[in-house]
Amino acid sequence: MTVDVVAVEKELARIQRELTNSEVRTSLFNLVVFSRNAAETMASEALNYLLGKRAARVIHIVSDPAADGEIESRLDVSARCYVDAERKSVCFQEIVITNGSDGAGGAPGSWVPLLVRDIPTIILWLDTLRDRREVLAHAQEQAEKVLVDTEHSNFARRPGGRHPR
Amino acid sequence: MASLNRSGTADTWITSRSRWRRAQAWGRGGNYYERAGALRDMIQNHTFQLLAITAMEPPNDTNPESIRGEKVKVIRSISPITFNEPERHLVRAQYAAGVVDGNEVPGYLEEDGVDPASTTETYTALRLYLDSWRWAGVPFVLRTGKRLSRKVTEIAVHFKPPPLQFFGRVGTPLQRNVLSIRIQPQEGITLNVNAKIPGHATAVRPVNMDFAYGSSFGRVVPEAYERLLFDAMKGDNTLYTRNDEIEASWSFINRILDFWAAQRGPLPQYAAGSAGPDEARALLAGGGRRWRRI
Repeated sequence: MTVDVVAVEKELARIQRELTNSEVRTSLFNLVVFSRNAAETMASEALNYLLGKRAARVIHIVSDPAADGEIESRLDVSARCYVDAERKSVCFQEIVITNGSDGAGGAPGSWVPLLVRDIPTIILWLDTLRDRREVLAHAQEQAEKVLVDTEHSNFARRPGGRHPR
Repeated sequence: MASLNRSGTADTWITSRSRWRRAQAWGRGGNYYERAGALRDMIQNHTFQLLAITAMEPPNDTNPESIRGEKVKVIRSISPITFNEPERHLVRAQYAAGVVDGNEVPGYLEEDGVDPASTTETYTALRLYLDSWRWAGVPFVLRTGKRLSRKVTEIAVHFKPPPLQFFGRVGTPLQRNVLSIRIQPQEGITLNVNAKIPGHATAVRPVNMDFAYGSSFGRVVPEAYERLLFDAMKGDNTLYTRNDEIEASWSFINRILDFWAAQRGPLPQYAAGSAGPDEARALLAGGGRRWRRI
């Protein structure tokens, strides 16, 4: 996988043009989601809630190659747009990086160049912390806020059997 | 701009993109980069030009000598680095293996044509001060590096907060307003400001006001060397560095090179594809300022 930032930006712009004829609001924040697999329920819920409310760039890094049968890291781009009351499109620019067995997809050198600069970055960590603490530490350096869902992170369970959240 | 001075500016960051050219390491022309390093290759010339243009006083006219005369005053006003606490002013490092643009890359010492015991720096960051009424006390952070997470050349002016932040009293503290002048890629200017979120609640969020040359004028910006060659044919030397400016810059750079030459041991390392070495954070330690992300 080679991350060609210029090509990604062009493709996102092209998709947005196809989706909407109206003026497009600029992204207000970056949301970087780390999860084991692509169909992470909580990530989908969060994105569905935000869709149409805040224009954002969403970078979803899927860490488990076995789950999707991937061997090489790969990158896909898409966009979802919603026309608001002022006839302006509120778009999610979505970039999905599927981490391959080479581990390159989760490295900062793969996704940091894709962040929109000078706007807040939020990390949503839905991945395990086992063997992934270094990745989280690098991600923290890029973020204003880091949200870790301990349901996924292999913390010790409380006596009642529930994870701390 | 009226705020580009010690009253309005908290600090200024100049980041220079340093392209990785394999020919450098393989020795075209006798392994140039191994003998040069980031300080000579980028800071002394490219980055100092950006510093001079950012900090210079407005020239009286557009005559080449008027402009070049103002630029050399900036370079001459750079306060010499004292080596009592070098880590607070100066960082050099080499990249280790990592991932750049999705591809695994070797460390600098494993590159073809590089001495395995090389102490050539592939990353340099400096914190400078200018001895002038306009800029006294304002840090200028200059940095350049190979194999960083993002390839960017920009000037970022971080403005001081207003004396009274009535919005900042509610909720999270406000970020500083930032003026970013992008040279590469996507030439343009971004003003990042705190804007009140519409509605009844008193809440503020940073937003970007963007200007991009590419989309605003609809024409391709000429390559830098295309312009320089054209100017040379016309006999316009505005963008060429005058000898007194070159001498002033080398007198500053040579002190650092002499200091480094006396140092022993391997250089600090940073992973290729990262934002640079951890040691760079010490440049702003204690000032309450934040390291600007690449």
